[in-house]
Amino acid sequence: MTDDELIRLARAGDVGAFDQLVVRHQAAVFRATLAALRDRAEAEEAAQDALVRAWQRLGSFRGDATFRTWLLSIAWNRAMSRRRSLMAWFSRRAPLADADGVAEDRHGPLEMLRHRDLARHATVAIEALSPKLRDALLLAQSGDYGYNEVAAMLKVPVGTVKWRVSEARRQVRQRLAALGFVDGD
Amino acid sequence: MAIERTGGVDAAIDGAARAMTAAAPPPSLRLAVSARVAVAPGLGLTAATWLGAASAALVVVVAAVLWMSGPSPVSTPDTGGMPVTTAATPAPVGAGAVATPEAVRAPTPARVVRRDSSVTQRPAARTVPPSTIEVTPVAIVPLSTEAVAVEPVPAPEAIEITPIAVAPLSIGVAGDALEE
Repeated sequence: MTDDELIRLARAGDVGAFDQLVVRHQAAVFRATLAALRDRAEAEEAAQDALVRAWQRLGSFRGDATFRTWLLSIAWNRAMSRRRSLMAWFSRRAPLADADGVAEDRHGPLEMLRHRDLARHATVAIEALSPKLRDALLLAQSGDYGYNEVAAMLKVPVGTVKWRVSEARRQVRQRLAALGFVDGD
Repeated sequence: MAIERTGGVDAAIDGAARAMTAAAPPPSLRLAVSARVAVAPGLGLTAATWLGAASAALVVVVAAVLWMSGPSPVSTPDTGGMPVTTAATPAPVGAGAVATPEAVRAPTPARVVRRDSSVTQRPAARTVPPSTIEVTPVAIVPLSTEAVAVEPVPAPEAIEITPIAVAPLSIGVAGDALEE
């Protein structure tokens, strides 16, 4: 069953149909809120709010964009609202993923150590980016969203998203280069 | 995604960025959403919620307006704009209504009443305890219909006006003046 069919049923009050939509898109919604809030608990609450709000506003969905894009826009707005309300969200954010997981097992012990160090510093450098650049980079690099979806979430043109991602990468590379990490290491 | 990975550092950046958002949604998310959706079934409850909130707000506003305005002012007989004199204490500042016997017998608490500025202001009423009421009747002098003697005013002397001779205007162009 397509999203459109499920939406039609959900609009008629079929809670089960909306649950199917939740199952399909909850991962994308959660990752978007996670990219914005950098905290699992906050991200889960924002994702909940977004999905419930989508249910309540299903009647206003006109189909100009895909349901997924519409839903991601709601999720991002909820996450931004929550992020603004968190006065000290920077200080409260917890490390999300073990950066060590980036290292690959095929490397030897010394190479793994170097990769772990690089990954850890890359994470720190990304965290140090401005929110606009970091949001664009995390959303684009998550692998879940196309540039069009990121642009819809951030409410900026696609070209702006691409520039922000490029600039974010440049700044992270610069920070890593200052620490001695350059290509070819 | 169209983002290129050009080397070890770029790969590290990509990996770190992906790792920062690589998390599966918790199983509780779907359950929590289902529970909340069941409690808030779509637009119906939303509209009802809004309606209830609007009704409550309206009740509060009406109650506030009624509390601010108090009982409606008692209509008073027209006194022809003449003040009703009473031997009493002065009315509180802002009291604009003319005192009436009913109002005097049953004084109400002092209250500031906003009045339309277009309405003619009347003198402030005086409220006194019922035991000290003393109303002085108003004497109205009837209009006099006798003729009023008017002294004739001498007319001013006639002024002689001499007409002024005005030369007719000549219309010409600069070329004509040059030719002449």
